[in-house]
Formats: sequence, structure tokens, C-alpha cells
Amino acid sequence: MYISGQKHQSVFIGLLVILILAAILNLYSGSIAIPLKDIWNIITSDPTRSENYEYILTEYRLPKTITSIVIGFGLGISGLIIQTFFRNPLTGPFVLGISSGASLGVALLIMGGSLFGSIHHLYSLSTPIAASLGSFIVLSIVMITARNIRNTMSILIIGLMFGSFTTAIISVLSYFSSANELQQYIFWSLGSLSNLRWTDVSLLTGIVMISSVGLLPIIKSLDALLLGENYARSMGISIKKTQTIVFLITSLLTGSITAFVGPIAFIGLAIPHITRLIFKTSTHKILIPAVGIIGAIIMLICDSLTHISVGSKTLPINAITSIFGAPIVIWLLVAKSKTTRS
Amino acid sequence: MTQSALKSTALDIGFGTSKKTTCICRQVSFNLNKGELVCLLGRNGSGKSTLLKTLSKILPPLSGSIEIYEKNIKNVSSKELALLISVVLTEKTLETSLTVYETIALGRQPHTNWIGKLSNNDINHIEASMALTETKDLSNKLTHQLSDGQLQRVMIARALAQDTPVILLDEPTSHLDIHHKINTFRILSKICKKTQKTVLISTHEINLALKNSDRLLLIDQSELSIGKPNDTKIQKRLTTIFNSEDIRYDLNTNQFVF
Repeated sequence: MYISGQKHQSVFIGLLVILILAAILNLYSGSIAIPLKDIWNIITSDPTRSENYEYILTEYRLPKTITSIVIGFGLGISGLIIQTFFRNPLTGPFVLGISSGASLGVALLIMGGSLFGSIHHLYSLSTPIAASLGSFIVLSIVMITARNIRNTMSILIIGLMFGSFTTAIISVLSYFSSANELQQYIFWSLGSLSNLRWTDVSLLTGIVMISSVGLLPIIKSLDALLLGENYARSMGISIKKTQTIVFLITSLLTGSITAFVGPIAFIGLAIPHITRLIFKTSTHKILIPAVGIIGAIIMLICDSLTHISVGSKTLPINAITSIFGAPIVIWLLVAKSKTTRS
Repeated sequence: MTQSALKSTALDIGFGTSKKTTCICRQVSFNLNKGELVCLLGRNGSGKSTLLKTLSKILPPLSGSIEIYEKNIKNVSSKELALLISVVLTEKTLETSLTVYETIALGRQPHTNWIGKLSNNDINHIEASMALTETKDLSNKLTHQLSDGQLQRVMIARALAQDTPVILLDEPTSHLDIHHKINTFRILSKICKKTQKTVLISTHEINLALKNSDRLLLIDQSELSIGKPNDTKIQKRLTTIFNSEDIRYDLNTNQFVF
């Protein structure tokens, strides 16, 4: 009669079906058209399968599809736990200075050359390393500044301040950099899912899986936090412990995701909203897997949409997530307020 | 023999930052017994909420000690304390899409396993506290759809579901209609007597407090006094705290008249 577990179950099954369909759509979409029949042949290892198609599929499309699923999952859950922890629906995984730190790292790598003498950034891993270092350093500064502050709102504002501080440094850097460097930086900041190889994909998958498991011990605390810190404390929740785990997991998730695919906008902020509207619950036992699956679905669809091609070029993923995502959230919120009024 | 449930010794309460502390009440010493309902009365800003928050370990005491069941709360872990004290606070919970049932079920958190699975016993407690607070009809509503009064009853139900020997309530009836005001006092005093719980309620409902409480705790100008409602010393102090030209304490009916 109360929490209809059966209803949630059927929604989950529906979402998993959509996830599989979205993954197939994602494998199907790309600058080279591979007929569905050939995809099927490759999946079933049919002897008549085309080797060219198989190469494209296993070396390009499949890593990209898995990347989409993994980062949609990771950004969704880190957005959710940050929103719950700060009890603020406007926050996302990037409020702690993670994305601005990563951007600063990459900006220094690409554009700092003209200021500090050239740094070799030709190695394929130098961008992820610069991004991780940048986000780690900025996040550490935010955490050290905030360590004695009990008020979570102040921590939020400190994170935002560091964000604008680093953005300002990036502006100064870009003002002094060459057109070529600037273009390189902008391309990184637009995000790209297509340059990941299998080693990167498995590393990212591992991090997201570990982080998800790390969330299990704080599911109860997150639920209690919905009533505010004082109530949570009165129910035996340690705020400090929860805060540490929340910050560690979000920084691990968003830091590594940003490092590999660039700062992906919107997903972390919006997916929790979409999920709450669909599931009409705030219980994290349900929300965490739901947010992960819906994040993966939306990321797959957004990535597929980058191939509605303008010639042979693909659209930047970061633009797609916002262009298609923002109207969806607005529409959902308007529709929701209509139903509550009637 | 009545036993002490909550005891404060030479307690200084207040709040402060690292530079400046504001002490609201000094040398507070009192003793609340098992099975006792005590109402905390005082003017706005006299320190009622601060006292309740200090007793529930949300605020640290400036000095002095608090003992719950003869254990200093300093040495009681927050998990253990959650099994001893439940609270109803004045702060407005943020709009969330938690249902009423889920909110009340959160009260069972200290009793549930690591993932928060509700046992049959938990469900019985939840349903019993919903029945007491008349919140059963609301169970599927989202908390942000409730009126202030309904929400207050839900938060009382949540505290009852936590099933602790000590319940601290900070103005739990401020938004309630007269029926639910009376009902809240009645169920709290019933629970108190039946299960030997200790209930401390801060309230502005002086007449309901006079009628329902075993003892009154008066807080005024950083001084605290405690005594039975029919104690003449307490009654005299009450009149000095609240008596103004607009209200009058009627000794015959033992209530304030406006």
C-alpha cells in the first residue's frame, strides 16, 4: 500500500530495456553507416561478418558506447549525492572546483607554453594527467579552506569562489595564448568521448565501479540528510564521515571523467532532477541505481545525437548535452507543476 | 523508585564562534525522571531551543555536564545517542520528494541494518506512531505538499517511531489546530506514562502545559526553575514571566486568561 516496490521494479525493467536500445542506437550511429544486420553478425560472430566493420565497431564504437554508459552513470550519481549533501538542487558535481581545477590544469598545459616555456603535451596521457592534477589541487585547497566550517552552504560558496578564481586565470592565459593553442583548449573543453582506448575505458569503468560500491555505506546517511543536518545527527549519522565519503567519491568520479572526456556539462545537474520526477521518491536505495541508469541512457542518446552529421564532423558532446537536455528538464518541471496544481 | 533519565549539572548553555561566545543560561542544573512529561516555558529568545539543542548534543555545552541514563553524553557515540534521544526541531525541512511514510520510516534508522531494511517490528512502530498522530491518511503524500501543521505532526510521528526513552520537542504544536494541539499533549503524556519515557516539550501553550505536564521547567533571564504546576513558587514565577497588562493568571482555575 505504501511504497509500491513493484511499480519501481517495472520502471527499472523499462529503463534497462531503454538502456539496451540506446546502446544499440549508439553502436549504430557514426560517420560510417554500418547496417544493423552487420552489427548483428558481428555480435553473433557470424562467419560472414565484415572485418572492416568489426574493426570500427570493436575499436571505436564499442569503447565509445561503454564510455558513454560509464560517464553517464558516474556523473549522475555524483550529481545526486552532491545535491543531497548540500540540500541544494542547483548544485552539481562541479561545485567543489573540480571542473575548474581540471580546466586550469589543461589550460596551463596547452596555453601555458608561451608563458612558461614549452611543455611537451604530445603524449596521449598528458591531458588526463594535467586535468587530474588540476582538479586534485583545486579540490584540496577547497577542502583545506573548508575543513573547519560546519555550515555546508559556506563550503558551497567557497567552492564556487575558487571556481571563478580559476576561470579568471584561464581567461588571462587565453588572452596571452596563440590562436592555435586557444583552439586546442576549446576543443578539449567541448568534451569528446571518441579518443578513448580500451585501457582508458577499463580504467574509467573500474573507478566508477569502485566509487559506486563506496557509496553503499552512506545510503542511510544520505536519506537522513534529506531532513537536514540536525535531524540526521539526531538519528546517529556522522556528518563529518558522510562529508568525507561524499567529497572523496565525487572528486574521484568527476575528476577522472573530466580528465578523460573533458568537462561534461549538464548531466550531473539534470539527471537527478529527471530521475526524481520519474520515480517520485528521494530514497537513495532507489535513486542511486536509477540516476545511474538514466544518466547512462541520456549520455548514450546525446552521444548518438552528435553524429546527426554536419558533413563528416561530429558535434561537440558538451553542446549536445545542454541543447537537448535543458529543454527536457524545463519541460518536466513545467509539466510537474501543472499536475500538482490541479 | 523513580530513576533519573536526563540530568544536567552546572550546565552553561549558549553558542559561539572561536572568538566570541554568547552564554544564554548559566549553571543550569535539573533532573528529569523516567515516565515524566515536563514542559519548558519561557519568553521568545530566553534559550529554550538552545537548551534542547544542547541536551540533544546538537550544540556543545559551554561548560558543565549532561547525563543520560547515568552516562555522560560526551562519552555516548552518536549512534548510541540516537537510540536514547529523539528530537522534533523547529527548523523547516527542505522541500524534498520524500513521502510521509518514508519520512516517518527514517525515524527507524538507528534500529535498521546497514542498508536500512525495515523489519516487521519497524513497520509496526511506524504504523503505530502514524495512528497516534493521525497521519495515516497522509502516508502517500509528498512532504512538500503538506501544510505546516500536517508536517509538524509527521515530524512528531517520526520522533515517536524512533522509539527512544527520551523525547525532546521544540515547539511541536506551534502550527497545529486546537484539536491536534490537545491531541499531541495527550498522546505524549499517555506514551510517557505507559512506556516510562521522558518527554521534554518547549511550548508557548501555557494552559495546555499547566494541565498536562508533571513538572514545569521555567527559563527566564538566564535563570531556570523547575517544579510542579501546582507549586506556588512556580506559579508565582510564571506570573512574573508572562504577566502583562493583557493577560492575567487565574489562581482558581489554574490557567492564564486573556
